[in-house]
Amino acid sequence: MARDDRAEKALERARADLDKGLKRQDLALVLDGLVKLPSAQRAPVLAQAAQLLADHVAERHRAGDWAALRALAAKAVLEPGLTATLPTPQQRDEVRWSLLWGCLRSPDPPRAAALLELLQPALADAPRLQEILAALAIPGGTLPEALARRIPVATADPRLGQQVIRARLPETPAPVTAQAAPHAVLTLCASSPFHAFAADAARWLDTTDPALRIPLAHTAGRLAARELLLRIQAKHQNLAEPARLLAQCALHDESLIPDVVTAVRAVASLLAGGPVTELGHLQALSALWLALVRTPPWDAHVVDLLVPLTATTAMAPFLYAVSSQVFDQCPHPALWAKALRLWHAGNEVRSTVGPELLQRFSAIRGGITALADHLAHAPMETLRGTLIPMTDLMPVRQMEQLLEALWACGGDVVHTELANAVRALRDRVSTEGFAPKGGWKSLAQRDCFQALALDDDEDAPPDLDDITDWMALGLTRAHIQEAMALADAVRFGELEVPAELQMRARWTERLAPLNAEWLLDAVEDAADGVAALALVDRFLAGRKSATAYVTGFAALDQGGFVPQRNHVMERMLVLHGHDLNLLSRLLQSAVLDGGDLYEQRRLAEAVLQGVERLPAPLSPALKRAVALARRVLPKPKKPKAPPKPKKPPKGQQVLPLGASPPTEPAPKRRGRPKKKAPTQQGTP
Amino acid sequence: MSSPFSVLELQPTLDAAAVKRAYYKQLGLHPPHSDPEGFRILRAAYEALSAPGALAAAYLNAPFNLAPALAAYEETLGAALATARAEAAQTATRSAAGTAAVETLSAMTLQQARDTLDGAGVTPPSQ
Repeated sequence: MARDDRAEKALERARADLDKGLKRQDLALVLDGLVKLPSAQRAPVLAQAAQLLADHVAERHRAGDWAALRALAAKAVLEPGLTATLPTPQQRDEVRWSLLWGCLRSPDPPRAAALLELLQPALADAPRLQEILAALAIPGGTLPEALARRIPVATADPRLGQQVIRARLPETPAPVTAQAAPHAVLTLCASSPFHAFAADAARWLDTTDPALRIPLAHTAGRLAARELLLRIQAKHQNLAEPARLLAQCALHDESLIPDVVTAVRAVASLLAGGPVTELGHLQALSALWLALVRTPPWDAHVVDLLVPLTATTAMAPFLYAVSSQVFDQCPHPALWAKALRLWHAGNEVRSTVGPELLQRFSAIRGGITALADHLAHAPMETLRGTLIPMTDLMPVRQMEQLLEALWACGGDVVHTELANAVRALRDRVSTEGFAPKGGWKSLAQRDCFQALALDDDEDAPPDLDDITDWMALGLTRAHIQEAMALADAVRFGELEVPAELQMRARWTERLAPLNAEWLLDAVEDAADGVAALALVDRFLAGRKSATAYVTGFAALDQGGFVPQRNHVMERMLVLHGHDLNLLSRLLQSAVLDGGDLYEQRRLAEAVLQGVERLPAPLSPALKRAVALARRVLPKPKKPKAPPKPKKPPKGQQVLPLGASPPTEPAPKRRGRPKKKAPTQQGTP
Repeated sequence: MSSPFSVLELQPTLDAAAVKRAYYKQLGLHPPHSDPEGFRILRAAYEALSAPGALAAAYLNAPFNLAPALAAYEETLGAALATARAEAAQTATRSAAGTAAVETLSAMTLQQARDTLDGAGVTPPSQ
């Protein structure tokens, strides 16, 4: 029911349009209304509409408006009565003739054929005209030269101007054999402007038989490379067209890769080592890189070329987009890591690609596990060079996942390297996760705090330029001083950040045996002496260097585990008491670092005992160690001399003959007090 | 400062083995004991190309001579393209004549067209 209502309303509307159109002599309204009416309802108005159409068609024909005639032809074919009801056959044929030309000049082959069919009776006695129209009505057909000569072309007086005739060239057919492909491509290139050639060639590559694609691509690709160089020579800005075609061809024919490389060099030479300033250059490079990046080993070179690239502010978003596309096409973790390392190495040139790489982290083929596996087996320089920038810039959670994956698949060397990376990440967490009571006064103050807290040189005062910058950002002197105080407190462990403590707890057990800094932290956090001793034992297992023992002693000293320190030292003396070099270095270290007096004396005794057993003459280093040991040990007390016999009283003294009587004894001359050997006592 | 490739007297390349060969060749000409300055320059150029990723970067930054590259393309494509252009020009001339004829015919009425082509006074063209 509702459908019937709608149909009835549509009919009413059509009738209203038709009436309105006839009243206003508006052909478009008349035809719109007419074709919507059922055939029975059209008949009463057909004659009126046909006359209106005839007038309009004649006018459009005189104006050469072929598109409008074509549109009217569509309606005339839909309702044949529009032409059939015209009063005279001549009028009828003239209208059809005009509509036919609309469909021939603004190509619509099916309607042209339909109108030609309606015109056949009128052409029965005009065989030449019929022949010409038949040739033109073929889809894509042109007028043969022999037929064209039959039409007398009027020559206008040149003083009135010349009309430029834009010939519609016949469409070059796609080749059907491999032998014909190069010639067809050359013909296509020669007969059309490059943008049309590029579009047609790309269409051929997409639609032709796969066997034909390689010869097609080879010729088209070389033509595109030539066009690119010509445009560069002519300082043409639009380099993207030939670059895209060359790239597409190279995907079908790998022998074009050297041409692509040449094109990359040619475009890159326009940059002259500076930032990208022209979008055309970037688009061209993007297309060429995308072709190269799919072809190992060129993919690595693309990374080499892309990463150091810089762009002006206006071009930076485009460079981001290009780098994303390129890295989406080559998500190999090795290339990703290489790119990141290169970016870090050249960071001073302010490359824009590095941060973008971090955003594409999840796009790496195989994910974090694959990247970790790759890095674990990469040269140490690669591992180190990749971990450093990642630790600085990656989201903390992802970075810790990567470190966990590396721990799982790496060996001892990797684990040792990880200790530094986790330490750096911990420092970052402690600064980024820290917020003072009451919050930061401003974002600038937070940035100031983070910069200070992560500063490697703890003792150096902040750079004056930095302070000037912070003040320029609106920070007051008090805010900067507060940030400095907080940074010092965090750096020296006076303020602790929960996230940092959690991370420390997760890694300490694993990293304490590998790294001195982690050992110091772990022993400091140890619950009791037994746990601290166990940590140091694990650290010293397999190590017997003086540095390791110094670290172990320092860790236990710092944690206040003096009995355990003494225990470790006694055990060391038992195990390595014969190693005079080790002992002497430990002694030197203990004296220089101001070690415990007990430690110094035990080591000095061990050195002297060892030297006594040594048959060979001492080396200079050992002589120095012996001197140091003697200085450290307390000097043995001299045995008391036997009591002297009492002197006889003065009066009873018998003087020999000629001897002078004794005078008052002169006071002893006080010599310069001997310089006391410095003794280092006390614990650090 | 000259390109490392030019110091090694080598065309810009991405072939690391070629760089090494060129270095050893030049090393014979600039031995360190007799030409320390030449050796220093040579060594600096070699190291500039040997660091990871440096070869490609130097290749990228090496001066690119457009003329020989274009000449190579002209040598292989120039003649064939000229022939194709000549053929296309002939086709365009023919096509232009056809287009002019079509424009003339389409501007006529049916009656004019019949009179022009098949009228009583029209002699059939020689085939």
